[in-house]
Amino acid sequence: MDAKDEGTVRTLLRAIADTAEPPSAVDVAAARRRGSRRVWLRRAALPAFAVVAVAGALTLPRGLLLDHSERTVVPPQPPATSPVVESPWLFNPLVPYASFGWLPPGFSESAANNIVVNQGVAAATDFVSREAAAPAAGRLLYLQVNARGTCAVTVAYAQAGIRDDGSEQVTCTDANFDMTGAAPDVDGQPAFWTGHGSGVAWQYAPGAWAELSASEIGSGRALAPSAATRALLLKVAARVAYGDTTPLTFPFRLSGGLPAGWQLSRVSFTVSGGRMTGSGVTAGPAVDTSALTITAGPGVCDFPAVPGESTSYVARLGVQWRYRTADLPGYAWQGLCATKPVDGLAGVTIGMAMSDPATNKPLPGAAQLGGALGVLARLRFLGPSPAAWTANPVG
Amino acid sequence: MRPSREAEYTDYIRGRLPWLRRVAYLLCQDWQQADDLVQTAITRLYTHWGRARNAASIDAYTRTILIRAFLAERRSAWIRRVSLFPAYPELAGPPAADHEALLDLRAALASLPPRQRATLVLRFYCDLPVDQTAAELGCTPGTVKSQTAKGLSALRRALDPIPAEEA
Repeated sequence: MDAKDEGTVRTLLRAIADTAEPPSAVDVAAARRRGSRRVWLRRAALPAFAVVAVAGALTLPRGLLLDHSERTVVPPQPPATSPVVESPWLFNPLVPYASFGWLPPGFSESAANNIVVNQGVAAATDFVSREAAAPAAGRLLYLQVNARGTCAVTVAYAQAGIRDDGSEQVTCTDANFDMTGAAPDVDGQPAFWTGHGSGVAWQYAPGAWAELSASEIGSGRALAPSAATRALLLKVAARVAYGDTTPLTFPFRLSGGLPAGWQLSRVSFTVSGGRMTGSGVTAGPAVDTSALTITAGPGVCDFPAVPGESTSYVARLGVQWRYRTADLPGYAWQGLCATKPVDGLAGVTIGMAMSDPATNKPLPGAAQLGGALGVLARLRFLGPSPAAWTANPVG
Repeated sequence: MRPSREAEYTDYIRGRLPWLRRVAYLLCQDWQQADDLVQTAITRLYTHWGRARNAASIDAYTRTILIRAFLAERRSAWIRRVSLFPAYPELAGPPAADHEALLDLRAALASLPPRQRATLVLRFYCDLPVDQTAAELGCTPGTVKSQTAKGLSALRRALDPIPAEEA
């Protein structure tokens, strides 16, 4: 078979793939549930005889690590030398609760803005994450500060302390930290190495945990747990600032607000010159908390269309928008992507699910918003001057 | 998983589901099995999303998961035992000008060993070069070349059963 025949096979394969397809039976929500359970089981596969689970907001008593024959749970005491940090049960996503108080030379949050898949930093109701990058060194720092009560601590007792087998962990709503060894205290509070020393998790307030990890830019591989890495992690962790009250400001606003029953689930923001600029919001009803995503920040309109979707272009606000829709059983979605800056704002996209991922029925509230085009019609772009920006992007 | 990553994952799957189903269909030659395979692959992708989102190409990472899940299933007896979904009703596709050729190719593809079929799908549907095909299949470029040659030869026999000199 020569090149001509290869072309024939190529054409026929495409023709086969393009034949009428039945409704999808793929259940994304089920994949998330099963995947989540699999992650949990993988990390929590503990010998039954050796497990004590301290659930909910209970804290890990330091004494357990120092004296493994002692099983009395002792509430941690705030160190006399450090101010007592309070953590709320939930964070306000529009007011990032925590920040890097210090970064090593070469690192900055603004450098992370264009490196990670999303923006450099994000905030949700139960955690705040921030990222700082050192492009020259190819290093990335990821900080996740979890709200009080969102982490559970699981401790496997063993003769020789932490066993470094993934069985000891801090399990938070949005992350799991495998404890791989005891670390020096962070700001006087219990701390553990994670990822064999490429990260450190610490209890920054009673019932509240944070983790800082270091990885390579690009590959995402954890840094080797060298003494230098560990020292850097401890120094950055000890200087994390909590209780920030500076609100984000957004250069866009969804007029008319969200449908009843919808709420913000997370926001993303960029940091440049000390200013925190909101670059994305995600919201939805309880059945799909990420049903609507609006972004206006780093990124380009390069998401290619895929078979099964229709793609067209619409003109709005003097800009051509790539408009993608899928109205297939089990997959109803609309997306808009600006091909040029809108009112000086680059990277404007709107993505909107139109069906309930669990039932495939129309998503409550989606019709009220009018789909992606309806959302665009209600978006107000506030111009280049930060003085005109808003702290409430969905009000 | 962090909500931001959960949203990334969901958005990605929403965008890529039709593509994943079609690649899976070419591999499985059956929509029901294709959806089973995609379900398996995206569940696995969820557990590795942190790594996938940092990969040079999320599509390549996902396709590798899909291909390897396909090969693993074919190696095991799973494919003969389990279906995650009820049977689909028969659907009539639009008539194609070369309908007979399509039917012949489908039959020929179905007769190929799974690895040969996966190789042809990656090379000629996904348009991957030999090196990348090898990486996704977890084999050497030489194996890809030999599997491609064998697969194409089998297709040639199926599509053109009468040798040229006898025609």
